[in-house]
Amino acid sequence: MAEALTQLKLQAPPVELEREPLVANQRNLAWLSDRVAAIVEGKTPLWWWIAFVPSSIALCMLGAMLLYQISVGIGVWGNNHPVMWGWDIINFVWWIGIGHAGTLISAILFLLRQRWRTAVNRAAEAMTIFAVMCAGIYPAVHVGRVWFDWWLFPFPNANGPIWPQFRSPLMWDVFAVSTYFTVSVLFWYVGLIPDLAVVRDRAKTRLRKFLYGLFALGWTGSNRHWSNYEKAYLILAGLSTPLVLSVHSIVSLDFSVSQLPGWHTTIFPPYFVAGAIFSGFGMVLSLLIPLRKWCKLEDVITMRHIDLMCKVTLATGSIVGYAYGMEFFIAWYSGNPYERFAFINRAMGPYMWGYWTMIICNVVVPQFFWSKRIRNNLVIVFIISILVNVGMWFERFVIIVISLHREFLPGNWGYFRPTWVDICTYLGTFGLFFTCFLLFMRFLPMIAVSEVKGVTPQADPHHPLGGAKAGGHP
Amino acid sequence: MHKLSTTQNHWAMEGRPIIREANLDQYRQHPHFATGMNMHEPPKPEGATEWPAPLYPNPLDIPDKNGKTPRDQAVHAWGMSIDLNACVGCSACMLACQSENNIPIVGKDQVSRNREMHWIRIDRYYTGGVEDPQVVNQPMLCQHCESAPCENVCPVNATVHDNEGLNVMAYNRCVGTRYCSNNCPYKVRRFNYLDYNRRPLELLTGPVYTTPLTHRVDGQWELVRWLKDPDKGLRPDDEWELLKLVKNPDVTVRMRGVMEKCTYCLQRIEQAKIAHKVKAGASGNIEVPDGAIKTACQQACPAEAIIFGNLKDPNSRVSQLKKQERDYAVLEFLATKPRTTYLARVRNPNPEMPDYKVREGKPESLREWERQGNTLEGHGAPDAGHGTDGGHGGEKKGAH
Repeated sequence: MAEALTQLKLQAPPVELEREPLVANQRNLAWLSDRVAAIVEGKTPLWWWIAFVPSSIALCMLGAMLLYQISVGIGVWGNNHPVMWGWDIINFVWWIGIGHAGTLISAILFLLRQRWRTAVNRAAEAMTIFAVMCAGIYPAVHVGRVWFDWWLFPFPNANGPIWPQFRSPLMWDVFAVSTYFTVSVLFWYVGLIPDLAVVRDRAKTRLRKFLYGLFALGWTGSNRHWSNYEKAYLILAGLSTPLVLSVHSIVSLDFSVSQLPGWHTTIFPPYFVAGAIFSGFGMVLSLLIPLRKWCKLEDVITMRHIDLMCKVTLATGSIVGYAYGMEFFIAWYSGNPYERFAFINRAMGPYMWGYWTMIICNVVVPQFFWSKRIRNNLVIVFIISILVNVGMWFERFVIIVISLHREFLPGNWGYFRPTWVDICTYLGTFGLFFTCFLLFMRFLPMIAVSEVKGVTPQADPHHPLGGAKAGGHP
Repeated sequence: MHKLSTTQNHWAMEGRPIIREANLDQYRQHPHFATGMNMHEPPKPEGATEWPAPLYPNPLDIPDKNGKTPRDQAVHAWGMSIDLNACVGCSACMLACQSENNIPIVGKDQVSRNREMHWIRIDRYYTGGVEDPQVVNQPMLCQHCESAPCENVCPVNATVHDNEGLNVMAYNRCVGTRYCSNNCPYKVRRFNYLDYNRRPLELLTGPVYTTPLTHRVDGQWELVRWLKDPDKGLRPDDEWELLKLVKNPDVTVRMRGVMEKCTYCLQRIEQAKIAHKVKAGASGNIEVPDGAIKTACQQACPAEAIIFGNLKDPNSRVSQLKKQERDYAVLEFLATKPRTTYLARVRNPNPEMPDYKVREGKPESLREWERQGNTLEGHGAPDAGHGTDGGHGGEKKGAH
């Protein structure tokens, strides 16, 4: 019997079918800790300062713009009579869409056991949090009387009490975005704990020991800690998964609950979610392609990771393209002349440049990702990832400005132009985003070290290099 | 080059049946041509109580604990009828409204940014060719929709219905998300983009506006002055005092960041109601008689094109006008049930004139609408009660 079993032993798969390892060049576990911690512990590189100084200047500009806008009024922006929402809501939706890739990578790919996520999830989650912060500024300051923002929250009050209008999608937004932000921060922080302990244990100064120790919450790496940690992480992944779908669905309802041609469509929730993931992966690629080189992380964020993210971008970009086509079909099929006009006006009206920029960047350009040669060319991937987010910005421009500027009564029709304040505020949000992101990657481990160790070939005891003998200590 | 500012940027009606016109011949042939130009509705689904169904709830039909709806309980149901046959587009209504309701004057720069604050405006459309166009005018103001799209989307309940059918704005509650205006199909809501009342016109020009943080008035920092007395504006004290005399004391002055719109001259309605209650005394007859309330626009209209009144009273002038076959609601297919409706225009051109033949005996707007593939003939039986659907259900119910 025993002989029969040994004869059944499966042969190793042929070499050409073997997957590329998730950590390249047979890097061992010690190298991983050293490499990731070095970014936090080493001397500040010059490129970091070159990126940080303009970012923090832009952040100051954001503060100045908001002070100016709040002290004078919404009139400093370009918003006008038919186009009551302009760059404020465009940028809100754009930033919050970017945030979606982080949660998708960290939650859905975790539940689907996509092990390649571990190399990129920490940076992507940080991106999510900072993007949601940039997004959150806009709905807060775009209202005419910022000091009454708290009226949007349902709280018991002495005025009757007066409750918010629970039928309004703006009310739902308050819940959707604040829940999303809270859960994203928690998820990110829980994942950080074991890695904060790594940095704490290596710290050489008292201050570092204290601060990293404080936030590592006394992590010792015991079995009980790991067991609790894994459970908490799984539960948070489960909680975040519906949020990936719900937040942008709710944001899309800001439009589809209205009756405006071009806004009032049932396709919006899935179409917005696909677009959000599309733009989020675009942003992850734009951030990680330079970072992996500057931080010498090419063996952790490998070409296989880039390749896989390009494929997600291609898939979601194609869904978005399908949605654009379907919108046109339904506008024609509805037989409603106002609907038809709204869509013809997008493609042929005074803003046709915006529409065609969107089509080229979102539908045409990602199709290049069908080619493996292009997916392996970092320069082209980087350019396409930027174009994806240009396209997604124009998608929101098309939906908001082009739908509003010509709607039911031609006597109201107008034209929207942004002012210098619109532009500087938008650039300022980049300042906030990059300042936060640069501080994050300089002071926190930007790769989930403990998780990446788990997906190295050495972590597998059956691997020729695995086990304690080859230095693969846990 | 001298820059001109206009309040309207597009002057073609694009073949949409917004202002509905016919020549006398068509009117005789199709007396119901105005509702005959309504958008074709899909057949009523089985089990539907209301068709076409409005997208947003109608607060007047939501019963209270005793099963009574606000529509049943109200003494009045305010409504308006505007006769496009009478309107000559003189804009007197706009001026009357502006003075009555303390509507700020925003100046050339703000007008060029499409931020004029008129609660009532005259939409002017040119129809036909550039060589020999026809001109039509339409006063456009808050239509006081029963199933109002603006109310449903406001996150703070700042715009709500009263039980007499007025769509009222609670300025104090408004935070200024501007969603109501985006969802208003008539675009009659106006937003205070800047502190129009507190700023003199010279401070209303961009691209860089004066901020109260750095501005000095009467030799004092504006912010310090404001902290001492928040009722001050960015104007010198003497100007500020003079300005108070310009305002109608019965109407509020709105601050920046607040949405505002036509109220059907709520202050006049309330004054009349109170006066009548006093007069009625113990008799309990508190129904305001027809003609006792005139809105500012109605009062100023030299052609008496605007008629306002109580739709619950079947004999009121406005109820009688709304029974006319020319009565129609703009954008009726949205089923928002506007309380303001229009009487279609009937032209009587001389058939001997050369342009009569060129125009095939029809007004240009009707020809443009027909060019979109519509006909008055092919639109079902024109006299088969088109008037009972869409925008009219509300008033008809109110009249019983």
